[in-house]
Amino acid sequence: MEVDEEDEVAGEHPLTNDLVLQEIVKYIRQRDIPRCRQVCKKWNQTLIPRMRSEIQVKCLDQASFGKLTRLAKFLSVMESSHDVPFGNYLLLNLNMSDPLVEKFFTLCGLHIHTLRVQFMPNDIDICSLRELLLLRAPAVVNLSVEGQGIPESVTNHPTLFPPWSGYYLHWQGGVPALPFMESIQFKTEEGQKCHPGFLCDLFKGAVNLKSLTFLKYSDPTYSIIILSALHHSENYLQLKSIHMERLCEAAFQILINMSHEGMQLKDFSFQSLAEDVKSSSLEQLISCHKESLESLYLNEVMGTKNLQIRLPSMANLRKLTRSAICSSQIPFGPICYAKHLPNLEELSVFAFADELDWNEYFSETVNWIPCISLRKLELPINLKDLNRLRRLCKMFPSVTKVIVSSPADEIIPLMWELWPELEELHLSLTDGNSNIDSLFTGIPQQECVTINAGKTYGEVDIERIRIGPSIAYLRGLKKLNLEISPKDIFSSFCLQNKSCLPTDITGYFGLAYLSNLEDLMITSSEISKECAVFLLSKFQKFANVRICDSDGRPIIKSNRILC
Amino acid sequence: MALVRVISSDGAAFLVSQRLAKRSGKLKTEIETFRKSSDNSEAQPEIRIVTIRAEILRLVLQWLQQHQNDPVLPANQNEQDGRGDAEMGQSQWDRDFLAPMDLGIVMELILAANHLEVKGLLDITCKLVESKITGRTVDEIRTAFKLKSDFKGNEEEQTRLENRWCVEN
Repeated sequence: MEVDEEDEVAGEHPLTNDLVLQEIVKYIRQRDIPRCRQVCKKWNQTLIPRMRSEIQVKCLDQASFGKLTRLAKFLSVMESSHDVPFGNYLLLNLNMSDPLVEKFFTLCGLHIHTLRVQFMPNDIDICSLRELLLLRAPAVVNLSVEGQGIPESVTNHPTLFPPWSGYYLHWQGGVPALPFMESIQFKTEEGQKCHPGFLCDLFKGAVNLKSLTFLKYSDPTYSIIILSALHHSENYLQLKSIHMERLCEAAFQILINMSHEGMQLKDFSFQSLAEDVKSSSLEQLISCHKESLESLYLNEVMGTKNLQIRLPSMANLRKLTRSAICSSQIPFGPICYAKHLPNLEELSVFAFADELDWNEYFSETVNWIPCISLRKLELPINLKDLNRLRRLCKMFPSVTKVIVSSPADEIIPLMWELWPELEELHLSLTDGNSNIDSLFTGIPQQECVTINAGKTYGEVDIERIRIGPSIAYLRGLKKLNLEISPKDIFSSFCLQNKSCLPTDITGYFGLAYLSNLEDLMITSSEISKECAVFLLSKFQKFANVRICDSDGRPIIKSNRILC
Repeated sequence: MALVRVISSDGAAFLVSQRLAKRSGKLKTEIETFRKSSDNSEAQPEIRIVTIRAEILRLVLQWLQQHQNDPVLPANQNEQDGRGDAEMGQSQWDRDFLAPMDLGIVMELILAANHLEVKGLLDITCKLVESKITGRTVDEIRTAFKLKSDFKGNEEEQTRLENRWCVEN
């Protein structure tokens, strides 16, 4: 593709045309955004909305002990900005009366798109929250409240949007308080339950609310308070996502009522279900949303009984997550993924491979048609059986992203053989694994020891000594996340066996061949600094690389996104 | 076979089957509007596309012809990350189709695909441009597309300083 000189002569360069740029900007990868905005003014201008929504700034850190040093540094740069390019913030120590915080909102407030706030005690009261939402950051789209929350939200005294303010009473001709807000998330510490009136005010104000998340609470009856407030706010018809920590039967009935009144969910998840939840209620709710659901997360059931349901066929479901860690599960019988969920792209099963009912989750008999739509697969933990891995590969041949936790040694080289097209691999190993160098490179263990002892890396004829498959087969791999931790963290935080760590052998004869790698994280290794530097020269130009030593200290940390 | 006459901005007429034309969201709407307003159900619709010239319209129709049996992608799919579709859908034929084009033609195709609502074509053309951007330095991007920096004074240095705040995410 050449640039035609005539395009320049004619005046406007095609890549500065607003309509063209607006389309292309959607395709630019997040990691390329900061660099692309440096190309020219027009590109900068067009990319700023994506910067504001996607690139998060952590400008208040706990290490500053309330001194707000990072915020001060951040503001000194933003003061000279023609147009502040950030709008996605994680804030700690949000003391609204601090002059720096005030300055932050003056400079950046109008552009805040996503606000994640972790409140400490006495950081903020309900009046300051009202001021924050209505005046300081009035265009917030995503709000996440974390930490200790706001004390007065528990009592809603004074109320969040009192009637005299004229806000939230949209249906009475008033002004919606939060017209831009699409997502509300509460992850406050255990025990803090917001007052129903507070929640109702908040939900009523957010007239365009699409996503609701309440996590980190253990009392299932709190879900009744949250969902009743939502129902009472009459603001749920455009809601697309609900993520709850714990649900009880009464909460399900409210959800079913709202569904019958027209709510159509795309995402639904829960961390656990109370013992009183009936199979029929869960089944009914899923059935109400079978046409619209794109992501479904079926997690644990409290107590000892299973919830047997029938899963309807769902043409739009792209992501399914199931948990079978505890004894209680939600079985729905073997399904043929290709027929039942024909557009499924991601499948996660949280379970120990040995305890899993493989016929329920991965039945070979019904899955004789491979599920070619699946791209991402999370394998059951502690997988040992090679035939089971082969079975998964046959069922899901198009997988390009895999998450594997604590596999047996023999599983690792088989993956290099079965899925050579992998683009992303998250591999969690333990000190129960051994001879990692050999498993990663196909070089016999004895040879690995000899090469490492003599440091004769340059003299090795890899093709001659390799006897098994190697990670070097994965030429298309873009992201590798290798975590190594003690098998039994309750007895020791230290690794009991160093042969679970990759050394320079893995570096020179495995990783160095992965020329498409953009992201590499190794939490523990015996890779030398020299080898790490060599690896950096082999990967993609702006690769994000973090390789740590056996104590977890970084040997090399490179984020060259801006070079 | 029901036909439709599609006319480019420079007056060239293309006679294509309605089945093929309806794979463009825009042409589909136009055909249905014509049907509703026409008394004669046998009449052949004529649609004038005033923003697309013949050379580009021919390329769009050629691409549609090749992909006439593909599933139609919803226009709003993967709004945030459109790359997924292109990666899955791009064939050797698409690569050969795009290979000889210069940047100007690719840009016109992007505009045409957007206007005619042909999501698959929009995906592969935008993805082509994106592939020339990813992993490149600022100077390499400017060189690849012959773009000139128009930042004045310390504006470029300022964007660089701002970008430092992205690093640790």
